[in-house]
Amino acid sequence: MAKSDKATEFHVLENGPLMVKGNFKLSDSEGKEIKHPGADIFLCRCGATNNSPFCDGSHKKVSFHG
Amino acid sequence: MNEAAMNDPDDRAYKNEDITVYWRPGKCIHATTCYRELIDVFNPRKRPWVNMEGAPTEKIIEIVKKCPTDALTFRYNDEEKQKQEEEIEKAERERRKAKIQEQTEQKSEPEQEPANIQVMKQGPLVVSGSFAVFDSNGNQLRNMAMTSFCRCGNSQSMPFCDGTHRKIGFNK
Repeated sequence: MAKSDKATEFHVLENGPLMVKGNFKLSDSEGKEIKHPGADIFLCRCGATNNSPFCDGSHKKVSFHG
Repeated sequence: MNEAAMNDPDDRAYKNEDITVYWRPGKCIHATTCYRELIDVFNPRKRPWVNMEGAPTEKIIEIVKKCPTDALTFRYNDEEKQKQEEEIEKAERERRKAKIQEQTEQKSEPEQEPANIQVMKQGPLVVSGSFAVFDSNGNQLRNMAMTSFCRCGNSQSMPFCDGTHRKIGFNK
């Protein structure tokens, strides 16, 4: 397991996705690793994405509030 | 953990001939471990949602111990057996404590593991490890060892999961 200088950061973006910064491991319900594009990722919070678990901008279309 | 800790009116106790399982909904982070692994006992669609006849006692204990919070705990009905269990748990705690102390004395850096993010099927994001959470104004929220974020968009306690995904039939 790689050592990180600091804790992973989760930023809740208003009416938008969850931004994740730093070192982290992303996996599915069964523990299988999910490939992700890079250091910072955006995870869907609105439930409407067509690229689950990642944000695809759908929150704007559905006027997500949260 | 024991009956004395059952101080919320929503807390429940479920009994079979060997053990009593305690359920504290206020502590649940909806990691879904219990019903994914033992639906015959822990079925959130049924009332009561815990069926103590659904599996052998050993299996129920195994899953209760996997609950990442104190939402599910258990006690042996037999006081002698409960005392033994507490002794085992105490020894385990002390072993962990000794290990941490040993690492500190060796001045080895405490291992900071990157956060683990698990995307639960039709459920929340379950997060554990070393992490910090910031709201949309950049304020850091209280430190947590584990939490779960809403993915369905309908939680009443945003940004965290409150179990609503089940009610709305979230399917991603």
